Amino acid sequence: MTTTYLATRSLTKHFEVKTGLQTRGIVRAVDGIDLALHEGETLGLVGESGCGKTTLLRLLLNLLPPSEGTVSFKGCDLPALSKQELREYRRAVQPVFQNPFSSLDPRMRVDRIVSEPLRVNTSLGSIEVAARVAEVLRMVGLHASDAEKYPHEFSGGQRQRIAIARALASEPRVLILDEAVSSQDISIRAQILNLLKDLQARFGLSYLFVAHDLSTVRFMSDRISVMYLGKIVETGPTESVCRQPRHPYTQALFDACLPDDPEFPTKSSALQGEVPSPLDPPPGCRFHPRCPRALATCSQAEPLLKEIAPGHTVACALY
Amino acid sequence: MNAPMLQVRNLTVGLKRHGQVLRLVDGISFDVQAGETLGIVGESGSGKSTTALALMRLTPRSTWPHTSGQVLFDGHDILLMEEDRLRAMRGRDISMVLQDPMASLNPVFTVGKQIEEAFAVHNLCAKAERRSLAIEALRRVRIATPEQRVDDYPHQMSGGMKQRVVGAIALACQPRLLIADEPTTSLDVTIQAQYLDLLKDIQRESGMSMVFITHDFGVVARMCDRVCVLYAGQIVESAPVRTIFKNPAHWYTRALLDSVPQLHTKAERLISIAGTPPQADSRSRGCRFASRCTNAQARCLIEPPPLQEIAANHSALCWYPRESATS
Amino acid sequence: MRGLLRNSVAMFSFTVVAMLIAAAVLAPWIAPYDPVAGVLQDRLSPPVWQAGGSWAHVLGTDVLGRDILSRLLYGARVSLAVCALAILVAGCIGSALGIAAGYLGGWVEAVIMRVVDLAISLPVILIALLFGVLFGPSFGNIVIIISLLLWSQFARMARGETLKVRAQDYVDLARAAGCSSLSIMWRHVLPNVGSSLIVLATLQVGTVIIMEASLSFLGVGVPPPWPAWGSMIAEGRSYVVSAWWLCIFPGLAVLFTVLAMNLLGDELTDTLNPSLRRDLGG
Repeated sequence: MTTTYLATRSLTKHFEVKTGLQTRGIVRAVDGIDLALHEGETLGLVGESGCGKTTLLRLLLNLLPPSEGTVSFKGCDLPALSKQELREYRRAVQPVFQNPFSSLDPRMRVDRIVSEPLRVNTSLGSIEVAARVAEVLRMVGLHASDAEKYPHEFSGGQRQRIAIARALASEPRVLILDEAVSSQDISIRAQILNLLKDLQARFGLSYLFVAHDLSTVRFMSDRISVMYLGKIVETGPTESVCRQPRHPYTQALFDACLPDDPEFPTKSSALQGEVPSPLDPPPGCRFHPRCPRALATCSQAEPLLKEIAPGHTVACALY
Repeated sequence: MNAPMLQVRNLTVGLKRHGQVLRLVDGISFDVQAGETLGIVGESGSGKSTTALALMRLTPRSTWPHTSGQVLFDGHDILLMEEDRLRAMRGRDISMVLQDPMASLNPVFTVGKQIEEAFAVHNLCAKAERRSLAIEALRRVRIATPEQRVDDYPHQMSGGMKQRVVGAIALACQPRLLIADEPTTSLDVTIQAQYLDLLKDIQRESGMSMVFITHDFGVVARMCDRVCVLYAGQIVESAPVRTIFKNPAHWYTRALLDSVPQLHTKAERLISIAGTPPQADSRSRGCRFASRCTNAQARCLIEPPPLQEIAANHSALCWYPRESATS
Repeated sequence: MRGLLRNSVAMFSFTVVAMLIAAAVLAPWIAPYDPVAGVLQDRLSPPVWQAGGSWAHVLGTDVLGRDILSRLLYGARVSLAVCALAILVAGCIGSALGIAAGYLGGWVEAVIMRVVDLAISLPVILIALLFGVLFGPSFGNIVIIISLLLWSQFARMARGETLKVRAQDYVDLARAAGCSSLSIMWRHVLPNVGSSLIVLATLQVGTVIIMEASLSFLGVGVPPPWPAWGSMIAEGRSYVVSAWWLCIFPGLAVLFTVLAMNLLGDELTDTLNPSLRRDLGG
């Protein structure tokens, strides 16, 4: 029975928008999300700006408390974890963020940066810590001697490798990758994606891979979830979602992707308008004002996630 | 055949650092015909942004003593032009759009005022007409309710809308050449699609030419007629867009195309290029790509490669270019 | 050309500061006379280059026959000691409060910043005079007064810089790793805001010296007979026309010190902020 490492149940996060002391409105950044990440799999999370994926990741990393709903680690809700279990959770779930220039403290040496999660969550001695730092630096294709350098001595691609090394230091089970390759050059991106795949094969890691580039998500993921304005609109196995996207928003995302082929017929983008403000989401289905296939019922009732193929769920009135 | 609108000949832009002159752009040459879109593809350090700036002579002062070559627009060399004439051309005959719309717009002025500034600087109309022309410019870039939007401040607009405003300012005076430096990199994919459609439509209506700088091959495939691939300050390949994708002659172009994950085919692993692009101060004497090339021979490491004519309009900077094969 | 100019300014400020510190530290050995004991017969003798002056007292003597040069050198000790201590105390307390306000936010920030606003709006000289009158002039009291008036500057700057640091990913990564707020403030925030605070400290030296001089001038500073530049100027004010050297030399000492420290602070700012240069990479 494969372990479900991370799961969320009706996870919701509201932010109050205040001007001075008055509350102007509520931003429903994340609204009723159900997610599960199993052992050894990569779940790709796709969404554009304002969809709430940054907030979702912060909730999963325990950096923000949820307004409603729960985040659970190995079946246990986060607030209910004991101190020991919390440490295990922090060792097991590690983030890698997008910007390698702000992910590394410029005043800290690489060895201290890489070993931070290890030192805080375990009681290993300094010799063992140093050995582990050397080991993970080698794993990501850097040299053990790089441990004594400072971040500014490295290029963007190398810094991202250091960030990955830090994530690996505590022998994690889950890596949360937030646009981890988006800011890299194409050739460096390929190197890092290959590295991530190798590490996954070697250590049986699970990845939550957040990206806006569908091709990269397709390459990395076993399953894909699509987010729009705080809700998940479609989830399914990668092949199923990519070959036959069901939700009109997912279809629009695929249509908007530009293939690397000048002769591939490009449809003029069917999706007009912009993402509405999360302060005032449209009633009913949040996508209906921009949806080319909206029905009358779409503005009244919010559709629930329905399974339309094995493992493939969609939240849409059309199904 | 008409003379090309823009002719760049042997452009070199250098920078002095620690007593050494580093050539950010090293002897590049290309043409842009009227009405066509030229794509310039490259990674960091290739010199693509410096090229964009050089085309309008906007490079920093520290590079001027180390800049040589010609940038001929309608036969007149931009690098030698008097300041007044150049300023009259900028924004009017040649315009530019940059990557970050937040940095391109002044936060303390309304959007309308910033578009009006373009008209004012080039004295294109009476003062009273400027506002209505600004509203028209917003309408042209497909911003809804432009009569209200014209008085908005940049912070009241989304990223996609801001980038359209930047486009409106650049297109206000109907330029004949638009230089776009990664204009959609910071936009969401659906917004990018809308924006590129817009540019394509405007190009079709006005017949303007574009120089499109990007690292995204999808954008290249959609927007460009011809492509130049830049590596370490040099153009390593230049060809029509179809040829670049189907039959690239340079090993770097081929490797770059292979390292991009495809949307419509499933791959287990990406073919990545080993190593990193060279820094400006540590380039090899021979071919600059040789140390990372899967096909490098002894000669490549020592002698700088010649520019070979592969076919009509297709050239590559290589000793042993790829044979045309089934790609 | 600009580089050369910049460098010569840096050299000048470094040299002056070094000389001042040397003078202060070596005063007991290089001062020709005891700054406190005066020889009444030699009172009010002018500097050596004026009629009536002698090499015995190069810069002249004051009302009580005390050698000006020696008093300047010992005065440097007092001024620089007050500076160093006041800035250290104000810097530590102000920075700690500012970092806490910036990092913790919420009511902590609100309370601290309101106190800072209050502190900044207090009338400086009035408070100092009040303090001096209530507790009497002494070295310790003057350090306390000046610190009280200075800490808010550090708090404000520390908070501003902390907000920038808090927005960086490495802080979130440290939180995700389980580091406590205190540990993050000490290990991540402080080293990154430190350079700005050091620059601020250098720029405050000028302010502190003038404050000390003003307080001594008003009579609530370092008590006589110990020399302090401010009180030297105060004592000499009845003799501005007849014995100008009593005021001018201590005045020049204040001027050069403040100038040199400000230039040094400017140099440090430029050195520590290279990120403002535009990158020509791609």
